[in-house]
Parts: sequence; C-alpha cells; structure tokens
Amino acid sequence: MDRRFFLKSSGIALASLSAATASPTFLTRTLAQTGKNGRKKLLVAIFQRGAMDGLNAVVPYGDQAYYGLRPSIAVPRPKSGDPMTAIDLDGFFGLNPALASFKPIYDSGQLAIIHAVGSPDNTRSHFDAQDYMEAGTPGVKSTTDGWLNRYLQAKPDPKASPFRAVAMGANMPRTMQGRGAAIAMTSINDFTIRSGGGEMGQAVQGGFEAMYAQTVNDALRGTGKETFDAVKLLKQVNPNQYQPAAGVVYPRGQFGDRLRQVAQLVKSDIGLEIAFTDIGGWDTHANQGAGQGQLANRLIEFSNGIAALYADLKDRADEVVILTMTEFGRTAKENGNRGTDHGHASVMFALGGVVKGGKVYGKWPGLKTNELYEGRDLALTTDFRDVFAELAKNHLGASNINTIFPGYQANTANFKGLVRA
Amino acid sequence: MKKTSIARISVLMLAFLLAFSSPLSLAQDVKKRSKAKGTEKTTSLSDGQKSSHLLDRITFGARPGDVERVTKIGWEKYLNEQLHPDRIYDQVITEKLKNIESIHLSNAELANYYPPPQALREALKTKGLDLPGAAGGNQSSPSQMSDADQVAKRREVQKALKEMGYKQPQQVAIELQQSKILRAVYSEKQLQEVMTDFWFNHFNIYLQKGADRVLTTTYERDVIRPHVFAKFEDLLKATAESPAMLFYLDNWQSAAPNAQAMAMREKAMARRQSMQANGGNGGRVADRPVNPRRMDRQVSNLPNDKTPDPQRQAMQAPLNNNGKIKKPPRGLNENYAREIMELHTLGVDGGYTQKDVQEVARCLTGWTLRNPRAGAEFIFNPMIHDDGEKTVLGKKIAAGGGQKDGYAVIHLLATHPSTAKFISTKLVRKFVHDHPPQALVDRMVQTFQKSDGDIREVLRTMLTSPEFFAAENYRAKIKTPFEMTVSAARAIGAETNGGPQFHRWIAQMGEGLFMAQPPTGYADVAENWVNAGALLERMNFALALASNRIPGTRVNLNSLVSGVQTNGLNQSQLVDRYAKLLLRGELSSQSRATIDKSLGEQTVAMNNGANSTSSVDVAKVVGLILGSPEFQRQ
Repeated sequence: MDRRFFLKSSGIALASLSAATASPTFLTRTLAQTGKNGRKKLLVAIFQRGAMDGLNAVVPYGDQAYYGLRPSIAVPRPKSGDPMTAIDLDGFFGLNPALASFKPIYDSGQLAIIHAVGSPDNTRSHFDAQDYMEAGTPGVKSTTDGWLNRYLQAKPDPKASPFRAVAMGANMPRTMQGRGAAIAMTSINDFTIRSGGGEMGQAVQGGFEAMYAQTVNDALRGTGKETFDAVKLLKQVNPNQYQPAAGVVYPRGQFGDRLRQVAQLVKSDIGLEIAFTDIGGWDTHANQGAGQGQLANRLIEFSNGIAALYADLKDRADEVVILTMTEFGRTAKENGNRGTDHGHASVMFALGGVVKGGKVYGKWPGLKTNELYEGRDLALTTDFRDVFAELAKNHLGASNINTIFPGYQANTANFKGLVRA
Repeated sequence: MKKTSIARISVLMLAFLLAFSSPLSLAQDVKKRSKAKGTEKTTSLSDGQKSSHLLDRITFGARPGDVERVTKIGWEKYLNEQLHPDRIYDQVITEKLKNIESIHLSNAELANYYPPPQALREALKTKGLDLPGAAGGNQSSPSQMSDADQVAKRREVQKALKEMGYKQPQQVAIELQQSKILRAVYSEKQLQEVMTDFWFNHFNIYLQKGADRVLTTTYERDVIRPHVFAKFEDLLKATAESPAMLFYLDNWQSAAPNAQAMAMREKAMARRQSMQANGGNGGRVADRPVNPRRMDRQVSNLPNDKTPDPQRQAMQAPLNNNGKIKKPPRGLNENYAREIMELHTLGVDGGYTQKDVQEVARCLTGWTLRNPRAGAEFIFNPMIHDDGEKTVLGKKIAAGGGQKDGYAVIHLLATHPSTAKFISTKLVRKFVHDHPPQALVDRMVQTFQKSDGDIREVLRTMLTSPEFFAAENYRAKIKTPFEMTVSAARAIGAETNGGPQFHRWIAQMGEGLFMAQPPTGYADVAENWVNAGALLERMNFALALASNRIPGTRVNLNSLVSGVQTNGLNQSQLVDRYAKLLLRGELSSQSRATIDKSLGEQTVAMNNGANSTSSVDVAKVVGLILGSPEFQRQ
C-alpha cells in the first residue's frame, strides 16, 4: 500500500521526499495508527451547516422543562408502537424517530452521542460559528487555516497520497484550507482532464501541468500540483471497481452521493485519511416539526446516509470514525413560528469500530430558565475541541494536539473516552 | 511510436522547466522596476495596462479590441461611461433578452404561470396525469414504463400543461440564470452587471427556498439592479421591503409576542375595514388579491404547503374562529434582524449585541407579505407589530412608531460608521485585492460618509485611486467561476444562448448562479474557489469551450484572427497570435513555450508531416490558453 505511494512519489515529488526523513518516532507513530491490514486510520467529518437543533435530534425527554419550552414542536416521550415518539436510548434521552437508522448502531455499541457540546464562544452568527468550528479556534478570527489541515501539518507525511485529505464538494471547506495538501472534488468520475482522449489528450494534460508548475502564483501553482498528482493516481487505482457492500443503499441526493464516493475512495485504498462533506438545511426558523416535518426530513437523509456509509465500511470498522458537527444549537424555547432561532450547544455523533458507543456523553446542564445559557439556549458542558482533540490524538495518532488547537490547553483529562485508544 | 512520442514530450518539457529556474511574472517585473527606480509604484502601469486592468476589474473581461478602444478614449472616460449606465445604448442584449418570457413578468404573473410542482400536480390530477419523475410522485410508474411510454407520457403532460397555460417552475430558474449569463456576456453596461452580481451576493437570497423560486426574478430585476449605483440606504430599504428578502430571512413570519397581539387582535377586528385607508404600503391589505387566474387558492391551500401565513392567520383566524381553529402561532423571529446587521450593514464586528438583534426584530414585526406564494406583496400589518418602545444601538425608538420603526432602523444602520467601513472593505476586496489596503478603505469611508452613502461616488474614489492602479494589484486577483467562464466566452467572441449547458460549468466550479444557500452569499476571496477539483473544471471548461463541445455556445476561432490564414502559420506563430489576442501579451513566456512545445511536438508526431495544422489543433491551443494560470487571473 504505502509502497505504491512511495513509488509514485519518487517519480513525481522527488523534491518533497528529501525534505523529510523517517525518524524512529515517525515509524512508531505510523505503526501505532495503522489498522489491521497496515491501512491508515481514517476520519470522516460531516458538517451540518445551518445549526442543527440538538434538542429535537437527541431529545431530553426526561427533562420536564423540555415540554414546557416547546409546546408545538416537542418530540413526544417514547411510547412503544407509536412511530412519532422518541426512540428511547437510556431512560432520559431519546432519538428523534427520524434518526431510527442510528438505533441499531447505538445498540451495537458503535455509536456515541455527545450532548450539550459546541463552541464556548457566544456568537450566534452562522458564519462566525462555522468559521470558529472549522478553524478550531473559537473567538479567534485571524486563524488562517482549518484544524483538519493543521492535523495534516502536525503529522507531515512525505509519502502521503494526494488523496490524503479529500473534501467532497466543489469548494474547499474552511476546515481543510491551509498548507497541508488537500483536494476538493464533486465527482470521482469527473476528476480528470477531458480533452477527447488519446495522444492529444495526454499532451494537453501535460501542457496544463507544466504551465501550472511554473506559475508564480502560489495558490495556483500549489493547487495545480495537487491536482495533477491526484489525477494520475486516480487513473492507477481505478475506483470504479467499487460496489457498495451487499444491502447498502445510499439515500438519493447529493449527500448520499458524496458519502458513496467517500466509501469508493476508502475502498480504493488510495491513502485517504481525512474525508469531509457537509449537508445543509438545518436552519429551522419556522415550522421545523417534531417526529416528522422539515427537521425530520433532514434527519432522515442525514442518518440514512451515515448508516449506509457505516455499513458499507463495516469490514474496516476499526480504521474508520465518522464524526458529525454543527456550528451551534438552537433556542431551547420554540419561537413564534413553530421553529427555533440561533442558540448555543448542540449534539455530535461519533460512529466506528473503535468508538465506545451505546452511550450519551456529556454532563446534562438542564433546561430550567436559570440553567439555560443567557437565559435562552442549551448551555455548553463539552468544548468541541475536546472531542476533536481526542479523535486527532487517540484515533488518528497526532502527537502534538496543541499545534492543532493553538491557544487551547488540550487536557487529556477532559477527553470523554470516546474511542479505544 | 505513441509511447515514445509522449515520453519525448515529457522529457522536452522537463528540460524546458529546468531551463527557467526563476520565472517572473509581468506584474512582478513591473514591481521590481518601480522599486529599483524608487518611483511611486502607481506610475508604473502603462496606458495599455491601465485599460486592461480596468477592463479586468469592472467588466466581465475584455473582448477583442476592447483594450485598444479604452486606451484610445482614455480610461477615465470609459469609467465615467460605465458609472452612468443610463447613458449607454445597449441594443444587443435587449434583443437577446426580449424573448425570454419569465424575466419580464411580475411576481403575481410568475406565481400564476409557473405554479409550484404540488400545484401543477393538483392541476394535472384533474386530467388523470402526474408530473414525470417527480420526487414524491407515483414511484411505481416510471420504472415499470418503457422509455417510449415515458417519452409519450411526458409529451402528454407537457401538452396538458400548455393547454392550461402553465409552465414548469424550474423554467423560471433556468431563464433567470440564462439572462444573467447573457447580460454578463453581451451587455454594454458591464459595471452595472458586475455591481448587480456584487450586491445580489451581498444581499443574498437563495433561489431554491420556497416562494423565492419565483420571487428571485423580480428581486434581481427591480430591487438590486436599479439601485446598484444609488444611495446605500435606498438599496438597503429596497431589499428590506422586497418580498424575496422578507421570505428568505423569515421576517414575514415574525410577529409581536403573543399577549400583545391577542389584545390587538380584538381591536383590529373592529378596525379591519378602515385599515384600507391607511397603513402606507400596507394600505391595500383588504384588497382582493392580484390574481388573474385565481391560482391563489390552489397554491396556498396545498397539503404540502405547510408554512402558515401569519398575515392571513391574523386577519382570518378571528373571523373564522368557531372554536375549532387552533390559536395561530406568532412571535418574534430574529433571522432577518441579525443578518441585516451582520451581513448587510455593520458587519459581524460592527458593534451590536444579542439585545440589539432582538430589538431590531421587534422594530420589524409587521413587515410581512400578502400571499407569499401567489404574488407576494409587501405590506405592513399593524396587528402583528410590536408597538412598544425599543432601543437599537443605544438609540431610543419611541413607542407607537408602527411601520416607521423599520425605517428608523434602516436609517440608523445605513448611516452607521461601521457600515461605511464594512461596505468599503468589501468593495475593495472585490475590485482591488483580497487583502484590502487600509488607506484606500479609509478614503472610501470618508466618501461614503460625505456623500450620504452614494455608491457611485464610493466606487469612483476606489476606481480612480493610486491603489487601484498599483502594480502589486495588477493581475493579482483570481477570477470567480462566473467571471472565468464569461470572460473566456467574451475573449474569444463566443456566441452563447447562456442556457443550462453553459451554467452547468459554473455550478460545477462551485458557484451556481443564485444558488448560494446561506445569507452570506459566496465567499469573496480566492482561496475559497481555488482547489484541485475546481481547477480541473476550469481547464475542462476551457477545452470544451474552445472545441465547441458546449451545446448552445459556438466559437469560430479562425475568424478571430481575421485576415490571417491560420493554415499558413506554424504552431509557434499560432500560439503567439492567440496569446496576444486572449491575454494581451500577459501569457508568460514559459507558458507560451510550453504550449508551443507540447502541441508542436505532438502535431509532428501524430501527423508525420502529412497534414498541415488542423482546426482541432487551434482549439487545443486556445483551450490551453484559456485554461492557463494566466487566464485565471485578473
């Protein structure tokens, strides 16, 4: 596996090879975080843009205040036989019935839920809050790169595949912007120069490659190199041999398509370490519904997509963790339009073979007025950086998490123990 | 033989690369020169470069001959022309837009002729038909039907719709995108179109959100475009009153908290008739809806149309309430109140608090819509307005102001110093550099404040500034996907219908027109759109465009270099000609030679000298130039 990258790199990236040498620590680290078959550990990060209402996704039905705050949109307490009620998890929390496909994974102990998690910053701006979460530096706007990119930088890998970090989507997300090489793509099949093929096609590709290699514009030059390295590698591995595992059906639409292509890349053994995609439509200011309705429709697509990816990658469950995140939660009290406005803490889901699941993590802050953040929102009891840092360290094997989360004294004592280290 | 020729090319290119160890761009050259001389950097662009730079930034790219034309009349004169679009004769685009039906209609007409899919389905049901392949439709039918049957079915549906006078709603989106592409390619009022793009993105709405599927057309046409050079406050006011924005950011649903509204409702019932006479814009609350075909009932009573209409509920619930109707929901919605400060005026660091968000939301209660899905008209409804006293940004707004509360907020925000700074900074990022020079921003803020927020004057300050023409800002920006595709079409004089096949490329690069979902619009700095996937799309677009592989778009590359027999030119001369034409000499010598070499070697290898240069080769040359790093810059 790595050998292939080595060979490829020696051809294309001679210069970068000489820059790094394999120190003993590097070797140990590499060994420590490769899975059973010598494959890399992998993180699939999914951003729910627009701020998911954590209180209606993972319902604190055991907290009486919840029903007082949400007279028309609360998800009813679990009641067997009634598909519109919460699905009980632990006698206090229940899943929105639209998240039903998560339940078997939770029961198998491979889905962990972190509640009342988010950014300690009090911004209720989507833009700022997404920025802070993707940069990994709440309250600091001057951070130029994203935390996933800083992970790449913190663990430089001279033999890294150009597909080490891939964002499914037309734009590079903030969290993967930075010095570390990363790719954004909408479709695996379109990821090539389409010039009519043949000899002339080769020449055209070569022409583009040479021009971009020479340009003085750093952004264009760097991106150009990443592009052509990736195009060439993709040709070699032929990801189109991929078939989803038996019985796996991805939901129709962009989100399902993207997750399917993540699986395709994973199964091509193309050196993927970080995959990212996002899903919008969570900004439910009006008529969000309860067990069905607007929010439920998003939750169905979201959970069915993730459950499909999880099942598709089951044979390498120990290597993969799927983590979801959203910029903030929503007001505890419903607003005047049967919706919710911008709030504070929300929910994250973590799935994978190494995840210690079947549990809702995090201290419950309560929903009484005096317990709410600024008198209106679910308070925060887990800083999202503690979740990110734990996965970066204990799953991906980053040794220096403080460079990934500058200004934050990541303390392993704050880790939730979400993954088997 | 094939293998070896490829290998040979690679070797040649490698050798070539090694030969140029320290490439310098022209911009850097200029900079170096000016530094060496110790002269002001601002004097270092030649007249031709100045024209070229201005065209790069205030138009969607120069067409053949544009640079020479601007240089001849002088860039100052050209700029002044562009700042006064009303004085520009624009026949070509007028002709091209004439027959695009939906872009000329009103909101009411659009809602009537292009009803949402659910309404179409209802209408088709009466004829025993359904929309083909519609999500949520009869799922069993398509898979069981043969292709021929499906085609026949589709024709039947089309025919039925035509008979009923309906068109499919997606046509509105397609035609709106098409008209935007056409205007960018063909309009002579280029700066107006650049600014329309800028302000739309600033006051972004999303074409796919509910009623905005049909409201976006008039939003761009009647709200944004007429105000692009106006006073900022007028633009802000126009957006605040627009059905599209009221719908997109939910303000139409925002109402005073329960108790007060309930109390007012009692009184309002009695007052209902007299309301016709007063209430400003809302004066016609009780008028009959403007619905030539009475589609309003059908549209708004659809089972899938779950969004309650507080306006309607406030008006009708008390009258219809026989104890059966549940208490209608009402209350504050903060969405628009937050974004009008964060994104439209002050900026996120502009000095407002969560409390201010709530107070602004209170001021704007009652700014709502009549029939959002059937004509969508802005009205002020005093019954759901919070009439108490408010404090916004430390300023008291007295109780009882009614609709005027909203105008007070708009004035306060439009004239706030943070707004002048936020808008100026954003303009500099768009027109000058991704990292705005502070001194320029400061001067624009002064102009903004002195001129009462006159956008034309702020633009003039910026576009005539030494910073704008500074060497370090020359060709220092990367085109957006829209700019790249349109500028390529303009550069080679392509004829396009601006249809979906052209738009598809823009969307593939990540910035489909009117398709930015969040209120932020698309990001305004290049790092967001320069990435591996998008870069490939640019190269592929360049190749597809140059080789006539985009349906609906045609180029005649030979006629471009008119009077010159391309057949008589060798590969190298050909590259020279096109590089001069498309990049005004800004193709680096390295890129030029790379194209030359790769294609030249290739042609020899392929043709074995049997044929002369074919048109395919010209297409590749042009494709390589349009896909080159140089062409991505402006």
